[in-house]
Amino acid sequence: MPDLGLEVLFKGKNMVRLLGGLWVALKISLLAVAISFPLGILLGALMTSKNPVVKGILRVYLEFVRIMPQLVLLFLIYFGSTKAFGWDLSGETAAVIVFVLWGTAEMSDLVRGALISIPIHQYESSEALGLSRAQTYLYIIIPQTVRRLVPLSINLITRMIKTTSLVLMIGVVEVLKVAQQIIEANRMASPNAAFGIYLTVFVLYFIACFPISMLSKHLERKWR
Amino acid sequence: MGEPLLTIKNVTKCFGETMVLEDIELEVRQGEVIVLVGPSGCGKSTLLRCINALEPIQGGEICLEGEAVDAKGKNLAALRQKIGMVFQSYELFPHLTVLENILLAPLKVQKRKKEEVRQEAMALLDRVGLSGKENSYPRQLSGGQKQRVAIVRALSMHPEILLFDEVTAALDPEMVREVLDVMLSLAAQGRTMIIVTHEMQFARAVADRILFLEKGKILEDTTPEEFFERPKTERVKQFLNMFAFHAVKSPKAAKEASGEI
Amino acid sequence: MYEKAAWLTVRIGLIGIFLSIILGFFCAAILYYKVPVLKRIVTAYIELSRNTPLLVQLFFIYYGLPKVGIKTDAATCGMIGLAFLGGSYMAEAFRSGLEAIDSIQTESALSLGMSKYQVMRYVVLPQAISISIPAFMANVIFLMKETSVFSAISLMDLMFTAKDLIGLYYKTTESLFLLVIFYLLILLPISILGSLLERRLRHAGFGS
Repeated sequence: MPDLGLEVLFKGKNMVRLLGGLWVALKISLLAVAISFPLGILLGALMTSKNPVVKGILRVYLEFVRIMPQLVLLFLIYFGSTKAFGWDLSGETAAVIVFVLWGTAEMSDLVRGALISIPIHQYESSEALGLSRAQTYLYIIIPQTVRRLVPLSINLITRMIKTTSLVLMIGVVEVLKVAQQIIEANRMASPNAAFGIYLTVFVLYFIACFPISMLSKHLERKWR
Repeated sequence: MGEPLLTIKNVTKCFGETMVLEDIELEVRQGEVIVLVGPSGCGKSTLLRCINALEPIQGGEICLEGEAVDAKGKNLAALRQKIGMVFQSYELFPHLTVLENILLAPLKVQKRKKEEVRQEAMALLDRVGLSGKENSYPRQLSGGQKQRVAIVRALSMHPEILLFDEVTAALDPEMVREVLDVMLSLAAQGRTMIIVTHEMQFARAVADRILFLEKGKILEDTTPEEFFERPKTERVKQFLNMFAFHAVKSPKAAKEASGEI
Repeated sequence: MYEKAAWLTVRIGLIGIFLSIILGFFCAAILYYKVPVLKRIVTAYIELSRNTPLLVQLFFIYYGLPKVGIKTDAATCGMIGLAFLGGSYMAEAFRSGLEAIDSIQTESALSLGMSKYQVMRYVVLPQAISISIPAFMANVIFLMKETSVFSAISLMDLMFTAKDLIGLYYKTTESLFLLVIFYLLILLPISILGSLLERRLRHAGFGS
């Protein structure tokens, strides 16, 4: 049985460091989610407005952010902001900015989609019953929108967590970077550490994302 | 008279714990038109689906021309060619034109010559009043037109027996008539048909025998006359009453209300 | 320099996507037909590949596997990684396409005497493919975007080139600009193609 390099995990504080790296990734995602979700909802509601200028600008922003690979966006902000504004952003800050921009764009699209998917009969029949506009939104529209949104939002969160792995490329010390450091440090002692460590990182991400996606599926089924 | 075309003996069917068909016995001869009626959920559609093995049976035997219809049988596809079925939701293939819908099975399954099948299809379409629609797609047709195409599609396989599963239940009244007329002409031609329907007047006009099912059992099996004029069971009498309405707003009642009487 | 890099990205991306389509097809078929043992394996595979980032998968294949004797060069690693990740997304797209076809369509085809194979070939598959196209195109775009991580395993793709130029020559603005332009060149056509296909299908409608 070839040496899987797993014993490195138990040396010293290696496991803790790996988990710390994962925490960095989660921190970035959660922060980004906390900011971008409300912003996204706002923008999403705005997108349904009839104003062509507003719609147009939002559209361009959305499309650009969605079509560009996230890594390109990271590069743009991290390297570009120094050039353009003379800012000295840390990798983490740049990452949060990019994720907020991305999250807001995605969220606004989800919200717009959810609002549009509510058939107009819903509005009409509640008006026919005598409900005011506000009451219609409160009791009929918003509950239904939330039901459509939640599974997709959770899916977005999972995607964000996975994408945080990219921030290693702009120097943030997250789990993959920590893994690299551990492997380097143990080059002589455990030559096969690469296998074991990367396998562990693989499993860590899985453990981070799988429960969330299971939750999403469960909610989807419950609310069908 | 010869052997019956279709025999159903002691057939039972269950969905899990629930028995939906209990000890069904039926013989259908060539040229007979059988109509199945009964309240919702009594098993009439299920019985139809068992005949061409879309549903497996748990007991008894269904034989077409002496050969057993078995969901796991090797000859199933061949037997199904002899049984034509028309569904309530038409089930035309949306990605094919009307003509392609009709030609698909004769060409691929029966491996007949394209020209021969095509001519026959066009003739049938003409007979049901749909010539000119052969290159349309199902989404461009009305419900009644789609159902007529579905009937032509089933006919083009030259089946021995035709099964109709509430084929007009989803249609507007005028379209119902179009389709029923086609079925009447098929019956007049001597086709063997088993029809599940709620259209009582139609049933009376088209059937050789009417079967009443309830909770998976055949309660009555009589001629149309007997069924409508002299039903034997209370249950059937109740059922037929469902189709009779007594005026709520009769002239007498109106006069009483206004105080004239 | 950028053209060569772009070409590399496109080439490896397309091969990876192509492989993922094949893999996805097989997996979708296994799930649709509920093949006993394979069904579990496929489900496990899909969950594993969807809950882990491509970068981690690449690192594992490129740096980890050689330690147990499986060596791959960067390009192959990229293709395998893309195929592994993409396969599960494609499987989902195809599977939901297949399941969107009402079973009663299958029944009406069977009633005409068609064999199971004929039903799949002439009735179910054509419809399922049409229905899967939006999800399919979305996956293609997604996978193409994911190719940007190949630079992490030293593949001389667009990101690598950009990083190089910024690092070595400080031509930040120029390299960033070119980076954006090239990715737009690759991704916009696919995106527009996808929208066109989707619009055409919506008009075609699918009422029975």
